[in-house]
Amino acid sequence: MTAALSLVSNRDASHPALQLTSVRKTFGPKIAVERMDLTVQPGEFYALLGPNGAGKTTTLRMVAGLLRPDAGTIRIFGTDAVKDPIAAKRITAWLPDEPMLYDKLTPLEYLEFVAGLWSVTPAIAEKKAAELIDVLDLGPHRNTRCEGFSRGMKQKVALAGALIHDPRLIMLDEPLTGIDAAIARQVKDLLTARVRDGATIILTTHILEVAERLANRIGIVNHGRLVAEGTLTELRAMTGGSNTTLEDVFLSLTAREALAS
Amino acid sequence: MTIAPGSFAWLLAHDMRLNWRGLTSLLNGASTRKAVLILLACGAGLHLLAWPAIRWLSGYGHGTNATAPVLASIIGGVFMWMVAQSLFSATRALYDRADLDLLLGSPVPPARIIAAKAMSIMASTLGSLGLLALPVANMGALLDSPCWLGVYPALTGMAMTATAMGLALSMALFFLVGPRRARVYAQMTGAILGGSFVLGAQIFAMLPLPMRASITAWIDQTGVLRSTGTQSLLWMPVNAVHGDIFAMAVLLGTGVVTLTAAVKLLGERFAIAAIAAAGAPAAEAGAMGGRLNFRAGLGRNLRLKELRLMTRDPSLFAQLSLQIIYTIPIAVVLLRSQLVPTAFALVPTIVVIAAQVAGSIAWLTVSGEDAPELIATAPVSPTAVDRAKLSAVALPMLAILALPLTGLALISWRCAAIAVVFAACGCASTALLNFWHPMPGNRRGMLRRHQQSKLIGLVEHGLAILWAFAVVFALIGSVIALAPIAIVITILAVTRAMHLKRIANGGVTIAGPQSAGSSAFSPMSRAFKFGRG
Repeated sequence: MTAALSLVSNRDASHPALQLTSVRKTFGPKIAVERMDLTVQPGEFYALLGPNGAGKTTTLRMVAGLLRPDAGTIRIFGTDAVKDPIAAKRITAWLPDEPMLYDKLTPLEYLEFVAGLWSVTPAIAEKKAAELIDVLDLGPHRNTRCEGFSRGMKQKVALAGALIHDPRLIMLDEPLTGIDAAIARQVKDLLTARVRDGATIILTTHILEVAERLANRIGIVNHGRLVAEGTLTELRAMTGGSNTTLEDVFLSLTAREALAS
Repeated sequence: MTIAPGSFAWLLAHDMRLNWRGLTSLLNGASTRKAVLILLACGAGLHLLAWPAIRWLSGYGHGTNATAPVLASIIGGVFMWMVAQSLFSATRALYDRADLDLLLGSPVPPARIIAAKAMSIMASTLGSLGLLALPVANMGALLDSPCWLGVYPALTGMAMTATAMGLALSMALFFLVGPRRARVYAQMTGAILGGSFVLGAQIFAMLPLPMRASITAWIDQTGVLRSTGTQSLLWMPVNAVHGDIFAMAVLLGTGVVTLTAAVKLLGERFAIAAIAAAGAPAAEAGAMGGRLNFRAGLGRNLRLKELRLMTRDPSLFAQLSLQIIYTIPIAVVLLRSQLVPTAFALVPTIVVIAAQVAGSIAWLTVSGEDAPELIATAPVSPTAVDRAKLSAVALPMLAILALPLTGLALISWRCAAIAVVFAACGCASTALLNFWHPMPGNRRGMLRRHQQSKLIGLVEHGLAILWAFAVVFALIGSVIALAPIAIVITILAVTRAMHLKRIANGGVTIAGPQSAGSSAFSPMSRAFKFGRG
């Protein structure tokens, strides 16, 4: 897996993992995303932060092909995601805040189905499914239908589904909301391992500690625009403090942007 | 005047407000004023429709022996329907939960909460029937005799008794078969109860002639259907509708006593059941658990997934079976006709069943998709997904139709061949309607899906009936068969045009794959899909 992803990374080194250029999306009179420019490099762990309704999820849903942008371009490893969605989807994974599962299927059957959707070679799919079930500690529940699972368990099954085709760009919307510390730890470890193996991860979160600890770079979105971007140190510098927490930085930047607008 | 928070009246007002909101959402989210105006308009229209009916009925004389058996049958059917509705509502309250967790977690006594829920169930059952029955009573009182007003207390008493029975049945099923199976059993029991009069009549019609004659003789002998003056409890509803004050009082009294007893005796158990329902254990995968056969191929995977979801959900299985059962009366009527040969009678029935069931399965695969975003984010073209889903509809249809078509072929090869062609067309048309006009919803509510769009429900039934007409004309070799086919094609063309227009406007209604090319979702559909939990 590591070798495969490394090869891919080398081949696509000339292209950013994700490049949004002047992307805009409106819902009736409401502007959800306004002239969004965002570039994420291969192998980055990028956290997208912002208040509720800032446009984070809408941005990621456009990248996942679930919403069509009104204007602008979205490129995933150089592929235009609007013009060639199938090629873009082949290398991406999308994990929404609500797990997308079938209650009457078992985790193993769910993984079998998702692997089929992404045309993963059966032998590889079976091996990957076994690995993911093992890493996420789903073994004892592999043949139990998902209908009785807790939110955390469902989130783990959905995450396994998102990773079974070894996506190069993984987008996660609030992946750690509502799950306990033990499961959160498993998820965080798995994501970190994926980045180490060469995958690119973009996640939205309200848990600033997660962004602070996991992300290489952080983007702050407000009112549909990217208002600040950089490493934690760079963001601290923007707000004029060196020992401030990400929470202070976030509140300061969003308040400043609100005043400006 | 303000109602004390936490009191019975306050809880009842809360439930009634939720009922009202449910009604207005059925009216496309109409404002209170608009909803009241729509209801008043409906009421006025129904009063106008009741006018000729009362004129015709008054010719027979209200309260006479001539109308009593018919009235008794109607009242019996209505009562069973009320019991079924109460059973459905009580089960929904247990499993869909809604605000039950919040209420039972509050310091309000559970018995009071359940009492308010029971009254709310009773009110909604009474309201839905009252809308149809009370205009008849009002026009009857105006044009014929004030005795017709006896419908008001009769209906209220019956609704209270039916609610008590619905509650008792739901609790009995819950504790007999366990929380995991109770919902399915309740759905099946409710559907059978609701259709028991229609089904009962058909079973009676299917019995051999001597047996029917002996049953009729027994009924005559016992005098069950003869007298309207009897004081038997079974005759009370008929007597009440005939204006008998004593019967009205008995009915109302029975209703109050049974409902109060049910709430008192079952309130605590209902609260326990509600907690148990939330923690019902999940089932194991069954015999095929363990090793799986990972295989590539979108079509194969989608078909397998749909098959697993259907076979593992007995409530869906029950709903599909009931859809077939409810269509059987047409076949019985046709088969009993001396003018129609057996094979001719079976063909339109098979076509109607095929079209109706295919519509349901298509709805399950498209609108009842539990993970539309997963399908939408897969690297598969929308057309490929549509094709795979259509094949997922076709497979169970083949299994369902194989037996009746084989039976038909044994009687007449020609009829069987024609039935195959028209059944396939019927399946394709209702499936395409569901593909082009998805109505996102919970799979469990398959039979209630048309509540979202009554027009589409009517169109779906219409398509099935049009194909039945077409096949009848085709069987007799008439070119008139082309007329219903042309109507079907026009309906589907219009639906397709509307579908494409919606895509062009960017307002895709459900799973991106259904929206050719766009692979897009409307945020509304997502909110709807996940918002209902």
